[in-house]
Amino acid sequence: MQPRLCAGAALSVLLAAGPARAQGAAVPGGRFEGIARIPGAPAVLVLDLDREPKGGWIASITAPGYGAKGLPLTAVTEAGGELSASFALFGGATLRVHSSGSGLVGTLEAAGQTAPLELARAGAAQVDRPPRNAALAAGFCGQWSAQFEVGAFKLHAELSLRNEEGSTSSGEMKVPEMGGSAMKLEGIAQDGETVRFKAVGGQPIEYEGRLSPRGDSIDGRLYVASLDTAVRFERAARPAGGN
Amino acid sequence: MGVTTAGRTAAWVGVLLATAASAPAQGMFRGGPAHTGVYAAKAPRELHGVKWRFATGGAVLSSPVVERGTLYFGSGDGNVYAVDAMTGVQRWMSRTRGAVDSTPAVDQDLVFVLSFDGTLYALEAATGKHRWTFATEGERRFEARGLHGLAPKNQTFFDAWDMYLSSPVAAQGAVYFGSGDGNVYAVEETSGALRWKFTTGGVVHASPAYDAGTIYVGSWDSYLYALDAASGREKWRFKTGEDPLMHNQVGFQSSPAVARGIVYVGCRDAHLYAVDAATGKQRWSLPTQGSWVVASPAVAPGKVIFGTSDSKLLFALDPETGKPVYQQPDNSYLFSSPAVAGDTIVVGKMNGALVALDLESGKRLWEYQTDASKQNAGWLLKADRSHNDAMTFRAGDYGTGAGVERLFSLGAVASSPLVAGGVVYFGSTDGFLYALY
Repeated sequence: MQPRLCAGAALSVLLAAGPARAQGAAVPGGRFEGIARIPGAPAVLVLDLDREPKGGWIASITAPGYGAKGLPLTAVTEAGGELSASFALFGGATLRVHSSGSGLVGTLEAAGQTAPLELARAGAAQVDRPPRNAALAAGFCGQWSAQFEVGAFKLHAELSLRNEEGSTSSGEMKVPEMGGSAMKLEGIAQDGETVRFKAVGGQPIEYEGRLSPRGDSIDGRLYVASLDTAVRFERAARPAGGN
Repeated sequence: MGVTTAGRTAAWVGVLLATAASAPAQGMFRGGPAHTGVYAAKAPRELHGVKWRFATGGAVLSSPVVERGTLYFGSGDGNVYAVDAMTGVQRWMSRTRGAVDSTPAVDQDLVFVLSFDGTLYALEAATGKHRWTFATEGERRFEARGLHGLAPKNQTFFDAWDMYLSSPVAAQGAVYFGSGDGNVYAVEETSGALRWKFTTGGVVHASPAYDAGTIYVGSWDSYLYALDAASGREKWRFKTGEDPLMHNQVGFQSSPAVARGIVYVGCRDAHLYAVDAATGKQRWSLPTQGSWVVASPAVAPGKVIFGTSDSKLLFALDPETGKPVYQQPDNSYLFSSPAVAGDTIVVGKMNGALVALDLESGKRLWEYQTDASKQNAGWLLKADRSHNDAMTFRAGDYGTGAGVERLFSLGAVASSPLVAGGVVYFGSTDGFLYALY
């Protein structure tokens, strides 16, 4: 009896320890530098991970050579010692990492492909926080639409701007001919009658425009890569309550 | 005649000390408006390690400048960065719409920098916020039919080696810079209003040097110009070599350095020139075995120091005569402009390394190799880290983007080092700014 009891106890301990190992140590915060071993094109990545005071993570990633500095990580989740997050690079990528003691190891997934990822700890996190979106005058808020031309291409855009709690704003812009999905607005800023923002999540688009005296249009310029073109947004709808 | 080497050196020391004492600003390309490339700080005589490195999203061809403990530089990711020189922590970044392959100038709490979007930006040094912008007529790289002998010969090719933008120089309340539109501009520091522009016959990506009321700058039209800083009026122009067949041996990427009444400048016609600053007459020239002199010379007491491209030589010349004091063979193309700090020269190499040499003898003290150079070398480098041209410029793609991109994959150090507080700062095409101590 005694030996069997001991064996049973030991088995229980092992079973208990097993899942604990599978779950692994919690992912630490900090800066991590390393390489995603994409066949034929190893990519240096710098990952900044920081825990928010209220829980959860704030994180950004830099990819020297891919024009990406401080891209925000979205859909950051942590479970069983594995952290996963998405970011707008390589056509849309997801990383899954866990602690390796001296850093993070895991995978980078994009375009249906998977590459090993090894990142070494390189100091404290230096997260690039997305630029704060400033609150807007009520006249800018609402739904807007525009038709415009870039060279021989005829495009149209749908723009949504709204104020949020805490003196901030948010918005989306959609250019169906450039991918179709709504792009989140960053760096929304107002200077008098002028509004500026950047649409991210696809080919980055910047816009700067001036609200007309009647408040029914925003006239400005839209910048994509090295191109810029005049774009006039016409008001489609005001938000309920005028804000 | 009758002047000893020691006497000449002493005179140079006096001139340089006087220059340093009266220098209005150090926070610009090559350490000041005259672009001597001589820094007050001492460079480490031995390498202790990497103090920190700062990641950007693109190749760092820009050279860092320092002002009040903050480093300013640009990146191919389109951002201008301000980074704490001690810690490497970002203070701010400011977005432009093109690669920032020029070196900022800092003056009057403003940072002036040029982007490949064709705009000169004036940013607040403390915050990075735009104070004003000035739009040129648009950027472009040097281009020519049958460039470098590329086929077909009637095809116009852009020059992938034309990698730097002009770095502004700030002096006398104005900002001076060149542009791919062929103009040299002077704009007001405080407002960005145009003071004058001077049109040359080619791309101006070299950086103007300022000395005693005169702007000196070379153009791809093969001329070195001296312009009155106040009016933009041409004082003289100095003709260099041309290459109508291949357009390979022509034009200025090197920026002039001015010291003791002489303008020193390298040229793609494979010469280093010394030109009288007052008259534009040649004092002397040194042929460099068919190799471009892209680097800007450093003018230290008793020595003019610069590197060459294909011949991979680091020269130290007598400033008065142009006679070599020494020439050191290297194993890499030298595009980076050398910095002289104390008794040490530091210079970047296109094989992804940075080397420190003894100023007096030219002997190598230490060398640092970037991770990218170690990891991506493959057969682009030989076992001794010299370039394997057959692998780098496959299928005759010398001078096209592909060959240059392969070099960039090595973490090439085309940026010119800055030495401050015993630390060497430089950018690399691997996207990092490094601080070595």
